[in-house]
This record gives sequence, C-alpha cells and structure tokens, in this order.
Amino acid sequence: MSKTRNQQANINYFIRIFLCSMLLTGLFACTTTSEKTTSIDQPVTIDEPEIEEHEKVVIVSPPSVKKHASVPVVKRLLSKSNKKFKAKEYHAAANLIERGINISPDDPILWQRLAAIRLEEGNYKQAKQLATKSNVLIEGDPDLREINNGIINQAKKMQNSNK
Amino acid sequence: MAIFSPKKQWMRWLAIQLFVISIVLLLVFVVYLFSLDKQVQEQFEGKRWQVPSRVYARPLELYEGKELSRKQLTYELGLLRYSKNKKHKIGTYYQRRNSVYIYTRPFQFWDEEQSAILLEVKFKRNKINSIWDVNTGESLDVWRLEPLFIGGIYPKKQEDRILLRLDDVPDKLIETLLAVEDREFYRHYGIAPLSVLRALVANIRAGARVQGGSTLTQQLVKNFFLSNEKTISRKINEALMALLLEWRYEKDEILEAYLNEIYLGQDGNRAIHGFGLAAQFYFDAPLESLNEAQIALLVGLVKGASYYDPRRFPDRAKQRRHVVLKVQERLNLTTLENVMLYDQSPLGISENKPSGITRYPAFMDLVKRQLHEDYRPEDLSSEGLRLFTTIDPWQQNVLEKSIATRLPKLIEKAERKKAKLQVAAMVSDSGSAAVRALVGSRDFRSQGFNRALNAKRQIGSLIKPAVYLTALDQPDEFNLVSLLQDSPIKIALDNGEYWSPRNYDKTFHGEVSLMNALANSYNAATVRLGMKLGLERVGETIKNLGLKRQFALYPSLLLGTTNMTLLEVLQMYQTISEQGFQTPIRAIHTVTTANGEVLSKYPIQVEQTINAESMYLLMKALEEVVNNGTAVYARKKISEKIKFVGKTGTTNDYKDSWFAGFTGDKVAVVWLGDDDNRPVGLSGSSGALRIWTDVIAKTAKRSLELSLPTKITFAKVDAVVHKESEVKCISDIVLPFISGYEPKRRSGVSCVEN
Repeated sequence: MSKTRNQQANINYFIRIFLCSMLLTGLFACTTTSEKTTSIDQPVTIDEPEIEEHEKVVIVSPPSVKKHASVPVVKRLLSKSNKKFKAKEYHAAANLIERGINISPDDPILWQRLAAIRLEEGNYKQAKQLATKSNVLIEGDPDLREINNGIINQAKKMQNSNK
Repeated sequence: MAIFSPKKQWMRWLAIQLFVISIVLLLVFVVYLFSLDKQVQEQFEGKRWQVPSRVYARPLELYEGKELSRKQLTYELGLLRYSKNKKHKIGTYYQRRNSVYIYTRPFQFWDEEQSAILLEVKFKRNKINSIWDVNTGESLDVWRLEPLFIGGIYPKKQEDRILLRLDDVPDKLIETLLAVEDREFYRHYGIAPLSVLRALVANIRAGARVQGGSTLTQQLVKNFFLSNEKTISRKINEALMALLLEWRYEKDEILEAYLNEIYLGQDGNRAIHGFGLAAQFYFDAPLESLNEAQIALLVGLVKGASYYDPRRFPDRAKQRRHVVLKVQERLNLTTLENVMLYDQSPLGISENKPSGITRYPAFMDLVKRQLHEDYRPEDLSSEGLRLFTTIDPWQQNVLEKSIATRLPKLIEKAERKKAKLQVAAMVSDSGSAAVRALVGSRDFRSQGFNRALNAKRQIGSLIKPAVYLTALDQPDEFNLVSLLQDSPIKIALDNGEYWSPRNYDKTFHGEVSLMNALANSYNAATVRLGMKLGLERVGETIKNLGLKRQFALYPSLLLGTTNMTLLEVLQMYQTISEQGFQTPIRAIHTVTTANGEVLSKYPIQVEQTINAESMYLLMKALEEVVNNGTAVYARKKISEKIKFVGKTGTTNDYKDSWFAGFTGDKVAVVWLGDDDNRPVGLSGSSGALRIWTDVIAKTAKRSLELSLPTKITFAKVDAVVHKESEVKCISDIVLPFISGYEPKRRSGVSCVEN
C-alpha cells in the first residue's frame, strides 16, 4: 500500500514540476519576443518600411506668384464705380464693374467691388460668392483677401440676422 | 267742335310716326357715334401702335491698350453704316496715318446717354494707343460706339416702325406731304368736300394724280382702323371717325400719328410703317439726313407703296418722284435747277436693304428663350422695348468664316460616308459668361432648327473631365499620378447583359497615371475609375458643373452616352474655366423701355460648386490633353503666348465630333454631326478641333493663367506616361497636389528601378 502512495506522490511531484516549467517557459517567451506588452486598450502599431531617399517625394516651391495690377481703363472704371457707390447709386456702380469684368475677367479687385455692391444691395448670397471668387483669383495680396473675408463674414452675419 | 278730316288725321299720324322714327334713328346714330368714338380713343391713347422690340449687339468699347486691329474697327464701322467721308458729318469716318477719325452717333445706352463727338483713335500696331476728343483736345479713357441693331421681335401683324416725334421730322418733308396730300390740313375738321373737288380739277389739269382727295385724317383712320375695301359704308365710317378724331385731338397729334402710321413698303413679311423706318429701309439713312429728292420719293409712296416700289418699279418711282419734286419747286422748297438735276440722277436706293430679318437668327433664338421667362410674347413684340444683348459681331464673323472655310473639306469626308454634315458652335467670354457668337446650322441665316440650343447629342469623351474631377476631389485616394488600370473590364448591366468598353485604338495600356489616362482619353481606365467612384458621385459632379436637368445614371454615362445640347456642354466647360464657379450663360444683359428706363437687368452671377483646389488639378490634367494628347494639333497652330486647355469628344462609330476648350478670355464649343445620326467619319481631333483652333487662333487675346489656390503644394514625382504609343516613366515632374495629401513615394513604379 505505501509503495503505491509513494508512486502517486512522485507522479504528482513530477506533474507539478512539469507545469511550473511550462509556466516559466511561457513567461520567458513572452518577455523575450516583444518589447511592448499588448493589451486590449492599446492599438497595435506596425512600423512601415523606411522609404529610401531616391523614392521620397520632394516638396518644391510653387511657381512665382503673379502680382496683380489693374490695367489703366479698369482703374478708371473702378474709380467711377466708387463714386457711384459712395453716392449709393448701386446699379450704376455695378454696370461699371461689369464693363470692367468684360475687359479683365481675372482682376480680383473687380469681383471684390461687385461683392461689396451686392452686400449693400442686400444680396448677401451673391456678396459671399463674389468675394469668394475674388479670393480664388488673388495670389499674393493678403490685404485684399482680408477685405474679401470681411465681406463674406458680414454677409453671413446679415443672412443669419434675417432668418 | 272742330273735327279733323280723314286726310288731315292721316297726315298727323304720319308726322308723328316720322318724328318717332327720326328720334329712334337719331338715338341709334348717337349710340353708333359713341362706339366709333370709343374705338378712336382706345387706338389713339395708351398703346397706339405695336412697336417691336429692338435688339442690339454689344457696343464696341474703345480704350487705350485694347488689342484691336484697324481691320476689325473698319469692319464694325461698316456694319454700323458709317461711310468713308472726310466731311466731319455724323456717321462718317476716315483714316490718316496711324489714326482713324470717327464722327460718332449719339446713343442712349442702358446706363448713360452718349453724345456725338469727333473721335480720334490712334493705333500702334494692333493696339489702341490713345483716344481723343478732337474738338476739345481731351484724352478719353474709354468710348463706346453705338451698338449694332441686329433685329426686332415683331408682332403677329409683322408691322415695323421707328417712332418719330413731330420735332424730329424735317420741315421740308411736312410741307411736301401737306402740299401733295392735304393742303387744307390745318383748316378742315377731318373731311374737306371742297378739297375733293379742287383735287379733282388739279388732277385732270395735270393729267396725273397730283393731289389727294382724302384728308390726312381720313388716311390715318383708314390705316388705323379700316380695311382697304372701297365701299360706301367704309367711306361713311371713315368720314365719321375722321371728324371724331379731329374733335378729340390736336392737329399736331394727328399729324405725328400719321407720320408714324402711314404704310410705305413691304420687306418680306415685315410691313414698313412710318417715315422713320422708310428712310432707313430705302436709303439706309436717318430721316433728318435726306435731301429733297429722297423726301419726294418717300412722299410719292403714300399714294401707293407697292405700285411705286422703287426697287421693283424704278421707272414708276422716278416718274412719281418728278411729280412731287415739281410740287416742291412750286412751294420754293427746291429750285428748278435742282429738279432737273435730280431728274437725271438715279433714285439712290440702298443696295444693302437693312432687313428686319436678323443677320443672327440662331442667336436671336437664345435671346427670346432667355426673355421668355420674364416677358410675354405680346410685350416683346409691341411695347417698343430695347434689348441689349451680348453678341459680338466681329466674333460672330470670325466663327462663321472659320466654319465656312473648313466645312467643304469636312463635308467631302462625311459624304463619303453618305452623311449630311451639320455644324453648331458657341463662343462665350470668360468671367461674364456672355455669349459672343452662336451658330446653329451650316446655313448661318437659317431660321430653322437651331442645333446649338435644341439638338441633344451624345457627348462622348467630353464627359471625362467630370469623372476625373470626381476622383481628384478625393485627394486621400487620387491625385494626378495615381495609377489606374487601363485593362479589359466587363460590367453587368440591369438587363442581364454585359458591357465591355474598349479604347479607340483597340488596345489596352496597362498601368497609366490618372493624368495620362485623361490626356489620351482612355475608355477602359475611365470606366474602371468611374465605377470605383460610383455613378451617383459622378452624377453629382456633372450637376455641379451646371447640367440642371435629370439624367439617367448608367455605366455608359462615364463615356458620354448622355445626350446634351451644345449650350449645356458650354455651361459645363464655362464652370471649369471659372475654376469651379458656376456662372450662368447669358445672351442679354439689360432690357429698357423705348425711353431708356431700365426694366430688367441680367447681371453676372456666380456660385462656387466645386472647390478651387480640385479644379486646379483638373486643369493641369487638361493641359496634358493639349500638350501631349488628343488636342495637340491646336497647340501647334495657336500662338505659344496663348495657353489654353480643352477636351476632344468622339462618339461611337464617329457619329459626333466635339471639341470644348478655353483660353484666358474665351470659352468655345464646336460640334459636327449628321441630323439623322449617320456616322460622319470625323473624330473630335480631325473635325471639331480644326474649327475651334481656327476661331481661337484669330480671336483669343489672353493666355490661360491659373490662379494658385492656397491649399496646393508642388512636389517632384515620377509619372508613368504614354506618349506616341510608348510607355515611359518620367522622373522629376513637378506637379500640384492638394496640401496634406502629397504622395509619400514618388510613384508606384519607381523610375530609378527602371
């Protein structure tokens, strides 16, 4: 009887040793194969292969910014239009600007003036759109852009207050 | 008690009956007179005449720095009937050294009244160097010539007239008219029985009708209210109405009405009423400039405009003129020497019959269409409105000439295919979207089917920019160097069949860059791209480009099987040219009353429907179409100084040939095809592009310079391109990308490895 009990004890002993060894081996494997511990909350990040120098895209400077300058006849029409604008003759002011646009369709100042006229007339939708168009045509004139943004903001404000 | 005898009783009864009948007849007569009086008032007051709307082209603006050849200026002066003359008379011009001197006409524009001046336009090569008011010595910033009258919108009765005020009419004409037709005008009360007798005697003596029996008032009544039938009842009505007219209105008012109403000729369907229009119709000159002989001829027409028509019956007209000249001589309005001189002279009738039938019927179609929403047809044809349109006669002339030059060879090619080649084309301005030229048929004067506005045709590859724009609007997925697969594709359709689009060169090209796929118009790559993007998304882009109506979303939409009119295509490409701002195409900008009061304005309107960055990228891709793709022919022919972009379009079996493109100042679309949809054997490159190129080469003045949006970054990349059937990998191309979405790698296929 005691021989059987001893054999059983030895078997149990070896099972315990085996299980501990397995546990230790597993723990060892985990610590050596990964620098980071993983958990449900942390995303898995996979490093991208490094791009070789010759494959990298090179950002370059944009082409030289075209400086805007109104042609003399447009300057004259703008001046006449401004006078009409100050006298609150908005239709007449707009007519002069449209003549200017026929001559110089990409002059951002013309579109800006038309935006300002529409703003005064209460046509807020067009005021915003025309000022946006002027912004698209501007390249190197932050002051002009600021005025356009002012018109856009004012038009938005007036639209909201009318709702 | 007195008893009346039977006879006396009968007499009494008769008298009572007659009295009653007289009262009744008198009452009936009075009622009848009232109704006649009402007719007279209604016609005379308020809307007296149906005055057609007058339609004008754009005025030619003259200013320092304008690119304008002397050829164009003299062409426009010719259209406006300015004559070459050094006498400094209104409506004349002459050239001396580098200057053209013009005595301009006054004109009431929609925004200001401009007086007549003697203008000096100094040229330096093909540019205006300066403009001057010769009389004051003042330099002018800008001056407009009066706009060309291009036609009228007529009432159903097809009457036409130029309204005159009595003060506008030369005294000689009034005196001649009264002497010949109604000497007693200022003395009678509408009818003049003695005048009838006097006229009879005078006519018998002269052996010709030298005096009329009817008064001017009676003639006016006849023209206004009555028919030409020669019955007693009509004559009685005429007399009564003449009396009523005289009772109600002043002599000068009646005379003024007569001068505007009298029938003086026929031009096809158009009836010429009034001396103002007659002067223009017969002599192509304003009334105030006519001499005695011309006045005599017009007055002579009163008796019978058809019988004495100077164009059809010059001998009769000359004889009649002589009779009236003799009357003028008796009145001391002219001398015997002059009469003899004029008798030896020709009638002086203008060869160029200024016609009410417009020179630009296809464009007028568009004008009427655009007015239709705001005006009833009867208002357009009767209120004497003035319509100021956008058409540019010079641009129209160049378009027509380019088509006329190219078409014969293209027709020959089409006829080999047994097709009847037709054409349509439009040119508009950048910025304002104003239509400057329009052709609706190869017969430019045809008033028939207007293909530019009404022919719905498949547009083929013209749709592709919409597909690629949709892609570029998703910068996280696509950019100009994104690789697309140009390889066989099979799409299951709703009807259970399959669609396998092929390229025009019948081959597939494998991996191609997005930019290159558009430049070479590869069908397979486009369809793959479009299906990946989704038809709804592409449809949304097409709407944002300006196609307002509903259209079906089939896969074949990606290759342009949707039918569109040329006008719709122009609208789409106008939006592209405006860098994503939809700007409605306009043919009219202002409508005024006859007196110059503004009724309607059609101002420039814009709406940004596509962001500027995506549009910038698309434009760069479209540059490749011109530099290396299907439109390279145009690049070789147009001056290097003028940059432009565009797209060819060819439909299945070569049934439609399209080209749409734009410069810095012009947007133009050309179509060629057969009305019965037979193949014409012309691709976009071999057909429409040729005409487009001819037009743009002659008229575009500004190069396309794209404004750089703020969110664009430039980077050096590699790109796979297909050029002249070769596949190449090109290194170090500098291309734009939407900021933040620049590719990290130069290309999917590295040029260095290759």
